Amino acid sequence: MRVLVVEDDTAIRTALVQAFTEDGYAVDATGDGEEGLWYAESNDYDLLVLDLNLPALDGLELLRRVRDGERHPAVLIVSARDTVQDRVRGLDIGADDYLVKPFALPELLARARSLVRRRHGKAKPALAVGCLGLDTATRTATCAGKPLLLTPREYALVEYLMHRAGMLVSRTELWEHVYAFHDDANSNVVDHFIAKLRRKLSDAGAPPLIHTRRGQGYLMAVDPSEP
Amino acid sequence: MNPPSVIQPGGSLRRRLAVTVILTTALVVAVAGAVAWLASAKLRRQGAEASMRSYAAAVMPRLLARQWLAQRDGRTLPELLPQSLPDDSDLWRALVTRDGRVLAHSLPQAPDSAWVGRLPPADGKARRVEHPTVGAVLVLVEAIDLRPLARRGDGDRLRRAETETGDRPATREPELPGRRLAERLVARNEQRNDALLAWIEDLDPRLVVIHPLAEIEAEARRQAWVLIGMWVLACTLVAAVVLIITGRVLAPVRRMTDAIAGITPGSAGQQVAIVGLPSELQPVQARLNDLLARVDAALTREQQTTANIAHELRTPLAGLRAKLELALQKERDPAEIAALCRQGLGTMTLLQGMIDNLLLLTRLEAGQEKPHVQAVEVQELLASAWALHQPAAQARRITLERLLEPALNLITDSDKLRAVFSNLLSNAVAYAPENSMVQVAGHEQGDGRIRLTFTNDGATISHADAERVFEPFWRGDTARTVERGHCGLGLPLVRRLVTVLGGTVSVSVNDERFTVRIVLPPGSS
Repeated sequence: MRVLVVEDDTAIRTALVQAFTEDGYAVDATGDGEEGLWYAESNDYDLLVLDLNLPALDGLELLRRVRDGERHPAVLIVSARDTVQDRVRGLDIGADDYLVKPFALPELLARARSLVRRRHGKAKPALAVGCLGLDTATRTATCAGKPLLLTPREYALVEYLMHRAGMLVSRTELWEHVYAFHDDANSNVVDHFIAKLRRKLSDAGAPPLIHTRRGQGYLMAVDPSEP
Repeated sequence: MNPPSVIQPGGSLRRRLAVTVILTTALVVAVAGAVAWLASAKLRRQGAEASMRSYAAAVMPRLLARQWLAQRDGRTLPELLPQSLPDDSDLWRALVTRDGRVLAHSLPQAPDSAWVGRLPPADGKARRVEHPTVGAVLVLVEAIDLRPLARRGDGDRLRRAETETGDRPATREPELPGRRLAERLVARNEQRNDALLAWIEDLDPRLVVIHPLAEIEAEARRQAWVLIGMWVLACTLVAAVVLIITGRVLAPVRRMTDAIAGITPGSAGQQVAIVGLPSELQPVQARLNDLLARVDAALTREQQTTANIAHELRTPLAGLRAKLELALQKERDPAEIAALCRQGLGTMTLLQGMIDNLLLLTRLEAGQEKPHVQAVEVQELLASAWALHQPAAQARRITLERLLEPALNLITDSDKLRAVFSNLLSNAVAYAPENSMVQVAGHEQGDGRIRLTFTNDGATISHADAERVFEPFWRGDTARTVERGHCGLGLPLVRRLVTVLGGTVSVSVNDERFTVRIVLPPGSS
């Protein structure tokens, strides 16, 4: 999952980047409103964590422009403005959730997970494709009931594919959602990670779940002829 | 501080208005009624008097004629006199003699001699007299001059005189009624009757015309009651009308009061807008709305400041909390934890500085900070303040240009003035563009006051907003620069400090040059 953090307070920004990264998100962060808008318009983020008091471009204006644009990330406003008026305005402009500073980090992460889930049309925190199960709350994977150890990056790949289960996911899309802007990687590394994932799954005794469509991308499904 | 119930001295406008109008009306109507009543009473009396006079005038010739006939026929006067009173009037009358005898009367009861004796003189004037049985009466006494009847007449002379003078009574002396007739009758007397003359002179008969006043006075009383009734009615009507009218007139005041009462404290943007307000009250409404707008503005600023304070304190707090939670979230290397703690401590330091400044500002605003004065040399003080910011200035290649008069001394609180310099220099170093120059100029003004100006090229606000820099936490853009240690308290602090030192401070923006001017008294109190 890919997150953009637009927050001008360095302490909060760095803390959020670290927390999201440790949770396996691909994180981009900036402290400037205009830069934040550029990020949001040029990448397909799953979640945008937005402060309201920003230099160069106000947070609400940024949100308005993002909502007018092509991309539709889930937006979580994190602001010290705590009046009902502020919250209503933020939500009405198009935010999906509003968290008042100072916030509890676990709560912010839980809300982030929930927003990402809903963005992909899932209400349940547990995802399942065939014998492969994924608990997004605890960030653990199981194969036929047995725990499956995944690196954060592998987990991110599996999570995205499972959210899009039964749908064709292009390599670029996968790459965009799993790698941050400043990650030194190109889309070829996706193939490498998919190969590793397939190996882990087959080692755990699962049938092939990730199918390759040449020139199109990947498909996660029990039956590859689904789409 | 006035207690809220200061309504007492003014009293009710409505009551004052009503009382004034009602009293005035009551007085005017009463006076008019009294005048009308008196005039009508006078008219009635004049009418009575006229009827009495015309009766007397009509009776007199008949009296004389009868006497003459009686004399001619050889009858005695005293017998005939009573019979000569015509009985064709509703007036009472009496024939009395000088000694109080009543020869004849038409009164219900014969008047006693005492009453007759008290009758007014025969001067032709009607007077009000009390009668023992009839009550108040109007009395007209006319002397009956029968003397010509006893004189020897000269019929020819009289006839001549009549043709010569014609009917011109104006040329004669006023005379008793019927005199001419008497003279005419007397002219026919053939001889002088001395005995008759003596008797007549002795008798001196008088005609007393009596007009009973009971009816007239009853009428007057009735009229008085009618007038009083009308007066009461008029007063009641006027009172009712006045109360209704004043109620109507004062209705806008009441509506205004209701509208003002409807204004709840703390909710902004409220105005009193009453449609169809009379022009006298419109200025009141306008002034009131001005006041409300000013109060709103002050309230909004206050709320903004409070919100800003909350916001500014929450942001570093959020950072601090996030760092600590991150540190505790999972098993970490000591080095990682140390890094997070260091970052948290940095945030803490910022937070502490902010709270210190906020407290100082509050203390200054509450007047709790008093200056401790001593001799200060501006050059030295500036140097010591600059020393604090020089490292930051060097990093951004910002230099300080001093344009100070030599030996610029003043008596003031050096710590507070240093804090002023430090805040201004810190701002300048943070906001001025890299590779620029911060200018500090100082000189003594004509009046002995000392003027200091701090100028840098880092203006990020418009001239119109310049004054707002003194509002706590106000910033030209919504961005926070708290990381540079500037949370929007520096200039409010500067202003408060300078105020405590007895000086004034102003800011201006010209061509992106931001200038702060301070004027300090030479010897701070």
